[in-house]
Amino acid sequence: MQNFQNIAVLFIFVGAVGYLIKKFFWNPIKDKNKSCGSGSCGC
Amino acid sequence: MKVSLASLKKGQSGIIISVVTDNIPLKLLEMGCLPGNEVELLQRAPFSCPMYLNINGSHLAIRKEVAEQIEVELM
Amino acid sequence: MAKQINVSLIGNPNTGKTSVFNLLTGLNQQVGNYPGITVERKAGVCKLSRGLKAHIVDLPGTYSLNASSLDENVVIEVLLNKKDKDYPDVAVVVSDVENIKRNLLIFTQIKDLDIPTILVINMADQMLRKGITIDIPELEKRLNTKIVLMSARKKQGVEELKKSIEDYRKLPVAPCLNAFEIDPEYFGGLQRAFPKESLYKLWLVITQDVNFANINRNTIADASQFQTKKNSELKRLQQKETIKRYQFINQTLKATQTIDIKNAKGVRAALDRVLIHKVWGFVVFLAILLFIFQAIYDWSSYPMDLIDGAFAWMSDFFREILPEGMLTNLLVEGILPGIGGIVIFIPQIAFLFLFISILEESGYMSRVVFIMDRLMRRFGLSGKSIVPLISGTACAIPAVMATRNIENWKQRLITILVVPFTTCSARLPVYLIIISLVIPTHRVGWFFGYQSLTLMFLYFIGFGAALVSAWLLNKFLKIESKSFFVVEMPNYKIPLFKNVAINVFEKTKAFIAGAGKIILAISIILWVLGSFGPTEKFSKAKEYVTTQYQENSAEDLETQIASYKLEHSYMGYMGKAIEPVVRPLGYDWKIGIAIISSFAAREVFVSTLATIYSVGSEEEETIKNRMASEINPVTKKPLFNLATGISLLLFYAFAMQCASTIAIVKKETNGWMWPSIQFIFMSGLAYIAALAAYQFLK
Repeated sequence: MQNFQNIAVLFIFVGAVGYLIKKFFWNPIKDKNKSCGSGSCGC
Repeated sequence: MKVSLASLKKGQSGIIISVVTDNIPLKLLEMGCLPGNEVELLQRAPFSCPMYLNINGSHLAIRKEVAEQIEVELM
Repeated sequence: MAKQINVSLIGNPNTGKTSVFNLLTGLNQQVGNYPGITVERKAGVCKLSRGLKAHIVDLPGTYSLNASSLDENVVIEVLLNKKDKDYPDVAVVVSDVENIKRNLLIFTQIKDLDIPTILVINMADQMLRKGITIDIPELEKRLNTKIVLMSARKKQGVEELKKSIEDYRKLPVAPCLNAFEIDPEYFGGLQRAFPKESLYKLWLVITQDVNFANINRNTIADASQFQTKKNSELKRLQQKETIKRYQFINQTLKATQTIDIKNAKGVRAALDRVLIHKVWGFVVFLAILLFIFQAIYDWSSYPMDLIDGAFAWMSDFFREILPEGMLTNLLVEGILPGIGGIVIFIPQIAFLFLFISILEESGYMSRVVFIMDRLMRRFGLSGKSIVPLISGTACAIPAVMATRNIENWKQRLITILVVPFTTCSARLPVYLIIISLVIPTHRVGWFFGYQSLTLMFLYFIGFGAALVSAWLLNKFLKIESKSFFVVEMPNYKIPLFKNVAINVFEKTKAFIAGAGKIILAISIILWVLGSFGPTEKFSKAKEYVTTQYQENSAEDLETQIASYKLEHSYMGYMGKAIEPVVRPLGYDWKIGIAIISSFAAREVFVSTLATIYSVGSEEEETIKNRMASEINPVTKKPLFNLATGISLLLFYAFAMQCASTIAIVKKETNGWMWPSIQFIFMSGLAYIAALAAYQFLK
């Protein structure tokens, strides 16, 4: 029982770390070139 | 008498004669600020900017700099 | 097999388009984002007859297809690209009875795009009152369309609209006027060069920065034989086009619409006289603000206490029924408090969005923008910055998203950068707990207590910092941008409950989904870091402590073991490592850790402390009691004294401590530069302020 619990905790931990990394460091690929998305566009 | 829209007093109305085209955003024209349309100054904000107008039935607020580019014939 | 009809809802803002959308889709709607940009995408499903379904997208409100802002651009992107998944089988243009003239501009433009179009005239119940009569069949003929009269408020006309959508194939597709008479030579040439494309489509491509499937601007400039016009000529042509369209609209309405009484300058004018008054306008606004903040504060405390109690109970409950072990500990000490920390200020956020939504729906918000504009511009902001700034007191994330209707890029950027200074809900739990610990409860005069004064002061500091930073940024940022401030002043309306409710629901949901997951992940990580240690000291903690303090009671030993374990866990080592940096501010390593974790989300401070203080502890004292009993090992006096408290309060007031906010600023400004600058500036300010406060007060 103890082992199961420990392994479960490990999985959850890795999952949490993975989620944060994905959220902050994964840049979504832009499939459309939206010209009005750029910051300097004064539109 | 021809004056700039910016100089209207509260409650005054006029007919728009011309619009200095380069400085006026297209949006304003699209909202009805066109030569031939009637405009009435409803109120000015504290410090007299922006201006609350009734242009051709549309109730809008625009800044003074923009109003200065619009020429109006007083009614 | 249910077939699907794609429908686009288009129209001016303030026509009740959203109400129509809500009537058609009810709760079957989803709010998301358009890919790559932070413009809200609202889509929903409506069941028609015979198993047909309408997939409806509520496009951002716009006055014309000539886009002047990011969200208006979305409208063209959808309508010009046949391959776009939202490209409509039928377009529904929503107009309102009072502003038909202006509303019809975009209607005529859409008719030029070869898309079957239905015209909805909303607020039809007002027609009688305003003395307006419309010859519908004649108008339908001249506009070449089907007209549906609706009153979204009274829920009238929905069935007719649904039927018209179903029968969309019967709609005439031809345009209602020939706008290209303004320059037959130029347009004739254009059409000949690209015979397969809709002429208006080509024209839009030339005049805007639009990319879509098979044609872009460069193709047209290169490939054609005829002279392409200069920008100023194009602009003049656009103006001519607008004038031509209005001529058509004026003629058409003259023939089909009669207005009998010059109505109700009545209510609107009377209200405006007060609400935009030089003095009363501000007084009323201030009073409303104060009321809102007080109400949120008061009303939320009851549900918050309930939630607090519920989660505490759940912790007890689970600890009892679940088998002992690491997973149970993770659940009870890490996950539950983590979730509780998010859930507990849903009431505040929901209430704030409720008020903002009511103010917007009623039309009052435009008046606020109107009176605040001049003042805001002194600080480099726009009158339209007021909504983001107020929203920021709930959460900076929807606040940053609300800046997209600010036309001037510099003003918009500055607003985005300073909004995180406003006191968001996440700071409140930190403020409240520190205030109740270190600020005395005396009252000044018979109405104000020190504690509430401190809280008010913190709010002012937040706004003050935002304004001062805005002013500084305005001075030092050299960015060229044109100013196109045009604000519509809609008629006053009684807010529709359904709209407000759906709005609040969506915003709250977005906040929970966005920030919530990040916080949960961090809670898990924190707990793990605090429950495992790298060295023997951790695993053999019990032995160490017992041998050292043999003479202590069993209870004391328990707490000492817990404390020793914590000190030698991963988290403990991290805290110790930064302790020299935070000691001048009056903090110890435990507070240090809580601050680090707050850099992911501020409210995590409280739940981190909850975790820190309950890790290893079997009792469920409330956090406050535990904190009050913490002793500073150096001074032997309570750790949470006035100096440390104030220092903490100031730190939290200024520090950029929210990963979710950084993420959205990055998205909105398209890069890491601005959020990085923001982070460094705010954190630096926070450190200095906290340092000064502690050193001065200790």
